[in-house]
Amino acid sequence: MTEDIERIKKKNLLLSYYNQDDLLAAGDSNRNLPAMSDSEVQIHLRDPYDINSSSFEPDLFLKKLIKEKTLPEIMDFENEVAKETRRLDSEMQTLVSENYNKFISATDTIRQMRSDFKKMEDEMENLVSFMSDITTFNDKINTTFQPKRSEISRLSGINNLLKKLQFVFELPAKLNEFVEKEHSYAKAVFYFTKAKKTLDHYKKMSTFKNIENDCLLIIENLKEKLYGRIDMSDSKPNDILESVDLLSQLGEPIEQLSTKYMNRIEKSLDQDLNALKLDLDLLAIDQKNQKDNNSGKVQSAMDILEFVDHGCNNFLANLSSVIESFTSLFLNQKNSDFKYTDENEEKLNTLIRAYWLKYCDLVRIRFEVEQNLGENTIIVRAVDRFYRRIQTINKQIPNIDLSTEASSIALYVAHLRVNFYLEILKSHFNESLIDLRHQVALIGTSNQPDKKLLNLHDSTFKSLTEQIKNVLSNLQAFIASDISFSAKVYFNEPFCKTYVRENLLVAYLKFIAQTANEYSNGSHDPVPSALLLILSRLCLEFESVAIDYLLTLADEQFFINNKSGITNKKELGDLFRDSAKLLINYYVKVRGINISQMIRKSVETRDWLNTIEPRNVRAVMKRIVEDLTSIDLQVGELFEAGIRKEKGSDSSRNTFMTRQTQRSAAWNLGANSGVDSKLMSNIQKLFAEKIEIFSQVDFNKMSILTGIVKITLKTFLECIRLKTFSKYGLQQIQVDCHYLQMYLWRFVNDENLVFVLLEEILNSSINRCTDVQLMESRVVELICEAV
Amino acid sequence: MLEDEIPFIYGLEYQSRALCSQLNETDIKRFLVGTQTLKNINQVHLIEYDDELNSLKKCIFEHKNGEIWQIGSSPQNKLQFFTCYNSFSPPNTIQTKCSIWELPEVLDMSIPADDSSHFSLKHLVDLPQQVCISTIWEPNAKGVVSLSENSIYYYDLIDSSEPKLISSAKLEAKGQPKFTNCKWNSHHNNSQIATCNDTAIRGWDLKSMKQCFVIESSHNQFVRDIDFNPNKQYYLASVGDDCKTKFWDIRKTNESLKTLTNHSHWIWSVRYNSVHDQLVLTGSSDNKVALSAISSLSSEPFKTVVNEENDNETKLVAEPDKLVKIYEDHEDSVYSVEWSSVDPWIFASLSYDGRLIINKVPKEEKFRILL
Repeated sequence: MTEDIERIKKKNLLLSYYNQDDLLAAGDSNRNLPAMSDSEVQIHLRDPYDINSSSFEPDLFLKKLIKEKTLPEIMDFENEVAKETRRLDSEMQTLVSENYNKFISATDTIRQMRSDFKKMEDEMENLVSFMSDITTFNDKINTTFQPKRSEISRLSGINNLLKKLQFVFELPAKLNEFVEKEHSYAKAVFYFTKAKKTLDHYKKMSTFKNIENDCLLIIENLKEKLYGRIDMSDSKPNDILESVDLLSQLGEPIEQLSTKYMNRIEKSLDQDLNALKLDLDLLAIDQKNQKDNNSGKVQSAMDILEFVDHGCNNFLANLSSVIESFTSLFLNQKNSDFKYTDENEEKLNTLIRAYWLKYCDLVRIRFEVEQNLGENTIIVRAVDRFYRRIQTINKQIPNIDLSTEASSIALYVAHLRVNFYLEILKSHFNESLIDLRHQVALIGTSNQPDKKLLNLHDSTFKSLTEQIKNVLSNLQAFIASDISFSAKVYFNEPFCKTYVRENLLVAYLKFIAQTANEYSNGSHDPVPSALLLILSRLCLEFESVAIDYLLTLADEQFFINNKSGITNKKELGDLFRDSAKLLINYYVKVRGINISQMIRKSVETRDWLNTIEPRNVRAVMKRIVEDLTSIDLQVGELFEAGIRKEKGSDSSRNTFMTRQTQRSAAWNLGANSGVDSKLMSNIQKLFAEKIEIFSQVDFNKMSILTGIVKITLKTFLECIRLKTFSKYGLQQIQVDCHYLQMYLWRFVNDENLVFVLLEEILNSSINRCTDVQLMESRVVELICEAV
Repeated sequence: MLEDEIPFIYGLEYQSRALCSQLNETDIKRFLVGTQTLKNINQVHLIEYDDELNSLKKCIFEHKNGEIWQIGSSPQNKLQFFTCYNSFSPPNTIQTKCSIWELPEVLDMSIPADDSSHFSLKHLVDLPQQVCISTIWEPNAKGVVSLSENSIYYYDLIDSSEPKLISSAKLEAKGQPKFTNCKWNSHHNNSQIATCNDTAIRGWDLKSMKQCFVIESSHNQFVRDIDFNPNKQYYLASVGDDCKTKFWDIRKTNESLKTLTNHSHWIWSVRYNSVHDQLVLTGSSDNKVALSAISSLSSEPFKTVVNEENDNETKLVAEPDKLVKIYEDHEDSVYSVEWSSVDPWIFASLSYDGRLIINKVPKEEKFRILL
């Protein structure tokens, strides 16, 4: 069956070759049924009625034809088959003729090729014979020239020898000339080393011996001169280098040379260091002069940039050239002994180390001098320049790490700088405090509050935060991206986290809180109370806004991501909150005590036994209300009002009055029974809440005022208990208490508190009265309202 | 709560400020309290406390002369005491006087607490001065010092019926200062007293009647009371209206040695314990009594600690200063506190509402001091 399929395919190929239309027809049958399976093909193949099929059975087909079709149809079909047969026949004929022509032309071509190859073979044979001729000629020429060539080479050898001899004989004179006249020691050494071998070889011949002796003499002289040049203090480093190099070529012991060279280096490095030291001394003198007299003297010392430049250009350049030359001289020579190499390297390293440390010390001292003056950017640039130079030098000496010191100096300078800024911040804070104090004093005299305290507070707060921001942005110079050491881990992390955040920002904030604390424990001289208020508000402001803002700012500006081991915001916030609390409590205490003093004086100095019938509220009570009003205004500027315990004000006042009337009635009835009164007051106390007099207050106006009122009233109570009252004395107190009740309720968050305290005052004065007769409440009201 | 820490409370009928411990008594813990009432007859209560039974006996005496501001038991004769009192005579004059009284030899202390029968006191003598603000007994002799508003009087009372004025001095300073309180310094042969006026504490030498030291502004405000350390000379405690207790060395008066802030209102009374002088009591108008142990300024600043590991080697360890306890049993201002003269672990405090409370030093502290 597969064969059948194959065949169909072949047939189709043939068809495609001969006629495209047929292919299309066949292809169509295939294409139209792409999913047609093999079985259907088989059916198609086996169809004995298909005229194109191989299994075509003419008999069957005919039978079928005759059976199925009508006569005209059969006739048509016959015509058609005849037509088809004719067409196929003609096609076959054309095919055969075409292929025949092609075959004939191919036969012609093959015949042509055969004749061409024959010609080519003949020419190749010719070529081979020519080549063999050439080879024989060549051999002949070679043998002819052989003797002459050896002669020439012998002659040139003799010539060389003669030249050498002449050189040797002329050597002493030449050397002398080089050494004495031209000072070109290098040439002399070069020639000598060249000749030395020969001289050594022919030592036995006296002529040569003499020459050698002469040469050696000259060379000794030369050596002396070279040593002299090394020791000479003003000789150039290049000369020294050359001398050492020449001497080593002359076979001087390397050890001796290196020691000598080392000494020389030390001398020159010392010189450089001394120059720097001198400059430091100059600077000190300058500063002293400036301190002594401010005359604009010409500054002779270098500024920090110049100093660093100078150091880099002289000392560091020298150092690096020393390292370079030493390495090339003593360390990189292949022929030198390993032992010596190691030793020399060791020597060099210790030397460099020692001088490096000396230099570091100088630089450090210089930066120390600079810490309190000078521009930040200049210092940063100086450090940067220094650090870069060290990095380049460091690459030249693989065994010593100079960068540790360099980075430690960078860190040290940053540390100094941070401390310097901390001091600046501190003094700024102290200055603004003094300023604040002046301003507050001024306001105190003008007596027109007009939101001035708030403005003062705002401006102070602003200037403090601005100052911190300035300092932070200044310090950012240290971690600017173009600064070589800024990104190094050993610099960046300690600088950002420890120095800037902890040692500067956190330390400063702590300092503020600390200073505020000092104000609150009365260790300062008496301060204006408004200052306490402002300070307390400032602390609160820091706690709620500024700490978070500043720390976040610092974290962002200095890219502090690792938050381990740093002071957190909460800790600082608590610190400030505590300070604010202490301050506000102290404020309450100070104001309360002021008013207390007034009350105490007024109660103590009066003769309560011999007083006239009260016609008026005592002046001191009015003064107290006035004071409280002004405190209310002052506090109200900076703190929010706070919540009052809700209670109808009118009703409470009425209650007081009615209670008072009731009691006065009760007193009149049972004036003699002290026990009853005591019982009454005790029962009252049982129900009254305990009142903490100097208690903690909250950060709002009501609470602050309540604190002051409590202190005031408690003082009043205690003073009254020390006195004895007549009838009119008692009535005066009654009037005063009513007056206070009328005005004090508005200041406090719990009116009941005022009520309880005033009640107790009145009770106590009743107890301390020799002739208890209270005034009629109507009269009391009249008197109080008349004020 | 431990049993011994339950306070014993005794109520007086009237308001009272004056309290003292009966001196020159060795067995019975007795306190004297004087009342303040303008309308009734004032009383002196003699109170006897038995700490084993935690019970109390009392004896009430009438004090007809007036309301008592100060009371003081004689260190020589346990039956004698003085009172400073206001005597009111209608219509409106008040005299402040000081009298010496004597209790009956035989006391009938068996009166039950609810009985109110009163006894009379034997009036010995009045101090012959116009105004008497405060009085103190001479510790080891028969003398008293009494203050008027601006003068000090030193009397000899050997003949108890007739005080002899030995010497007097007048306080002269700006602004008509008034004396408020005084204390005897039991060191230096009892030749020194200290007085308070306004914020100043002044020391006086009784022989020359000259001022011998002054602490000008000992407190920011009024100084209410002072007490000398009974066992360590030169040391003085003071309290005042600034709610602070301060300790002084009277040789260095420009700066206090230590300041305590245990109270939230004026402190009216301060007392050193006569035996263990690190214990200091203060009473305040914040209704509280504070007991502090100030070892660093006491006569026994170090404690001997036996190191058991190291062959019973002993070493001295500095005791820390601390607040031992705040007693909050009073409901009115506490104007006076007093240690018992018999048992150094017992003290009494008196508030204005007439509540006398007898307390003990907490056992823990007691053992810490003793052991």
